[in-house]
Amino acid sequence: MLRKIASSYLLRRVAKALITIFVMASLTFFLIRLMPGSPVEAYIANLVTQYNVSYENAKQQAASLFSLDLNAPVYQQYLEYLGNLARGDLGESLISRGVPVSEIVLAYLPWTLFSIGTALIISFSLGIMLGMLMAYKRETKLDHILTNLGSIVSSVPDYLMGILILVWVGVQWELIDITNMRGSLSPGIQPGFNLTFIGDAFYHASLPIITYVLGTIGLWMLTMRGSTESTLGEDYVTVAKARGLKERRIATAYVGRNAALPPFTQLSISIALVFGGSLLIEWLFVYEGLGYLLYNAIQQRDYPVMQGVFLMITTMVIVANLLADLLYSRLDPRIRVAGRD
Amino acid sequence: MEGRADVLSVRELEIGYETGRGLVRAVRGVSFDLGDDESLAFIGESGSGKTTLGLSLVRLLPQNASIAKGEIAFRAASEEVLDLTTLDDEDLRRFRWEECAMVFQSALNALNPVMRIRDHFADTAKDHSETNGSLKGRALTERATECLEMVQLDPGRVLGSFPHELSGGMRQRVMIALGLLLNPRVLILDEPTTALDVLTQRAIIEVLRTLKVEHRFAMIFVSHDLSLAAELADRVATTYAGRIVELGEVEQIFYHPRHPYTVGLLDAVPTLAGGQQELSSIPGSPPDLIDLPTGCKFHPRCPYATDKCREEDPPLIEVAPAQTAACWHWEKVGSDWEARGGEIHERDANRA
Ligand SMILES: Nc1ncnc2c1ncn2[C@@H]1O[C@H](COP(=O)(O)OP(=O)(O)O)[C@@H](O)[C@H]1O
Ligand code: SF4
Ligand SMILES: [Mg+2]
Repeated sequence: MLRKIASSYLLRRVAKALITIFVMASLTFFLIRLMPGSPVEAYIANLVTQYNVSYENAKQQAASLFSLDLNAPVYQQYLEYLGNLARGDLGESLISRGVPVSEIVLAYLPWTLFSIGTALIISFSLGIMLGMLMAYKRETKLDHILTNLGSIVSSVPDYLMGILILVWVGVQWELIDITNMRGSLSPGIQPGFNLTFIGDAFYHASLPIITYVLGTIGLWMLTMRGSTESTLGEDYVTVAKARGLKERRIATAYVGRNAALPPFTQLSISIALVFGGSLLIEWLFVYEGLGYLLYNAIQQRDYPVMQGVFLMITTMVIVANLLADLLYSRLDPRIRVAGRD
Repeated sequence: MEGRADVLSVRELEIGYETGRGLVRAVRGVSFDLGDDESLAFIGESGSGKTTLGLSLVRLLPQNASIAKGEIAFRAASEEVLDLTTLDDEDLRRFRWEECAMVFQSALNALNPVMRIRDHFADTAKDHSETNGSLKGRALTERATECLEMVQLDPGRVLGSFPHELSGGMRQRVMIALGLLLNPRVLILDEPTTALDVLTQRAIIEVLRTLKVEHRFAMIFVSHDLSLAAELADRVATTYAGRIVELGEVEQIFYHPRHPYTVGLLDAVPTLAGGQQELSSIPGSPPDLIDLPTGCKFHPRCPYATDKCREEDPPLIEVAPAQTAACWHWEKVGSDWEARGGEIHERDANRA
């Protein structure tokens, strides 16, 4: 059985993701529970001093909020926490009493996924195309301009990019109405599969998306330029010409297809960076995703929600990485073999 | 071999590479004809311009190369004579692989690593469907199967494989099979056995020999190894410093060479007992193609060299019917060789 798992790339990769999620969840548990001045203790202390609740009572409340039995030994608390997690129970919000954290997190999650997913798809495909264009037109003016642009945008941190967009485009030039763009949907718009909804969703997500695209596209452009240049020197490309294949097919199925592999391997790193960056960017543009939720939770010291957001973001990054890796192994047949030993 | 029509005629071809150090004169005044089911081998030390010549025949020279002079006339299947030096892009694209296929020196990396072998056959057929009619679905599989069987591969196993799943020798054979797909008039093979182990070399040679006997198309081999020519060629051209220095029927070249360089190459052919061996028996090294010696380019290494050799470059002249050599002293070279006769025949017996 173990042998079988070890020999299947897919199973091995999924197992690795599950273990990572497990480790992250455990770390979160011990950080929140065991550190001096942990949220649980802080919450209890707060209840006791501010509201004059008895310590026992406060502890009771804390336990139900974090969905924990605080009297039990730590290992038992830990097991219970894991059990709850497995059932998707993340406790209840401190601020919106009685509302499960999972419900809150799930309400904000789609917006983050939507904006980041769209941005990565746009950025990756556009970056790949530009990078290829640069390599095909190498040492021309176009190449020089794009290379410089690429290195400039990739060296500006994404929050700075966000601030620049906000200040110049929104405030200085007043090109767009940033107050109107706040939130993830305009008032009165109902989610549904129609143009009004989709258009509005894109409208509100546009600034975060532009920021993420600008933050990542430079990397794709430059990596793709380099890998296209080296792919153009590969024997199979010369041979494809000798085989009288059409220029277009050689550019796509031979050059592009192979040259896109190195940038693709960087997708995993990029996903984590963009998720991390989104916490600030969403706050900056008041875009109601997980980052925005986290910001509010921190402000209001809503620890269970903070914990929920952390767990969710970690899980999303790990799952996205898993998907990227699995996709990569489909794109590069050599991986499936190489990954075996 | 009488009455054959020439499929390819090359005249006074000159090719140079522009480099920082100067012009590399890789091909200098090469002329030859290729009959339409003939097999011609170009044999010479590494750096003598063989690959450059091969690439020019499919017009795939590197960016820094240019054809300074000369003609390449190709008689296509339609009997139309194409001037390869002036063909436009689209005609050139169709010419490649339909009329003339080339298996490259570095064929190990010649297949797209992310595509299955079947798809290599499919896209080649597809991009040549204007002239060849569309070959797809079952007809394509049948034709690909046929080609793979010609090179003694198991189509069932190979068609669905990715290149990395095949050994070097199998990939080489896949390239040859792919070359046969569109029934080209000429198949060029650049060092078809170099970089393969001895057993695989044997297998490839067998495959090529069968192809040569059973199918009617012309082949050009390029190799540094004269023994390959012995097995596969009808005619052999030995090349030195970008030039053909001797050209003749395979028997003439092996049994009656008239150029000291050909003699040197023959002496370097490894016997079966000796195994694989470098071409070390010609002392010295090939000349700098940017700054060539005066007179005969072989004179610094030639045991027969005289003052005349150092001053004047010998023309390629007829030394026997259908055999030409570029040497002032070919008669002396020839009589010395014939005097060694006994020794040579013994060696040939070993080789066979
Ligand atoms: N792209 C290139 N640029 C400059 N010189 C080259 C290039 N390719 C080959 N040459 C030179 O041209 C000469 C002939 O090379 P080549 O045709 O590869 O010979 P062979 O195939 O006989 O070994 C060599 O001196 C080689 O260094
Ligand atoms: S011409 Fe002179 S130098 Fe050249 S090969 Fe003949 S004998 Fe040797
Ligand atoms: Mg070569």
